[in-house]
Amino acid sequence: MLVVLGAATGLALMRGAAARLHLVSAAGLLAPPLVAAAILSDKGRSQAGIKALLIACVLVIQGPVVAHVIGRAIYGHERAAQPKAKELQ
Amino acid sequence: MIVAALICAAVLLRGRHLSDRLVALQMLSLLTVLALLILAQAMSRPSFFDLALALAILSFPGALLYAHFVERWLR
Repeated sequence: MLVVLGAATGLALMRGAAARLHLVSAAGLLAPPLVAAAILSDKGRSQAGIKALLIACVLVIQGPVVAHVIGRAIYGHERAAQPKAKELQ
Repeated sequence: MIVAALICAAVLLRGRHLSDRLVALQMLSLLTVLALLILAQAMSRPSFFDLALALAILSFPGALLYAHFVERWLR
């Protein structure tokens, strides 16, 4: 909860999409295993526990991939906006 | 988690640039999956695990497509 709340607060307070992405991707990597561990500790090796573990694996694998693609999109978007700023100068 | 989701929704609605909103959307989808997991555990409803799995799997190509759109088409 604290990880997620900290990431959301940083998302709101930080300036710039890259800084926000930095926080969100960190939370996206930390929070799902913690939740899956909590569910596994309660349910044990049941169907629910295995499903929670599977969901955590999916989120942990897709998190950095999506963060990389969004970061590339942010970089391309900002780079395209720079010539306009230079023209104004 | 509701507080975190409300903060993300506020950034999503009031974000200045499209990239900020994309990051907020990604965070919101993660929060939804985690909320479904916790609800499934708390209410002892195994069907919510399937919902969370479907959302986790489907949010991946959605985020990729949106980022591809921002990168290629909004120059």
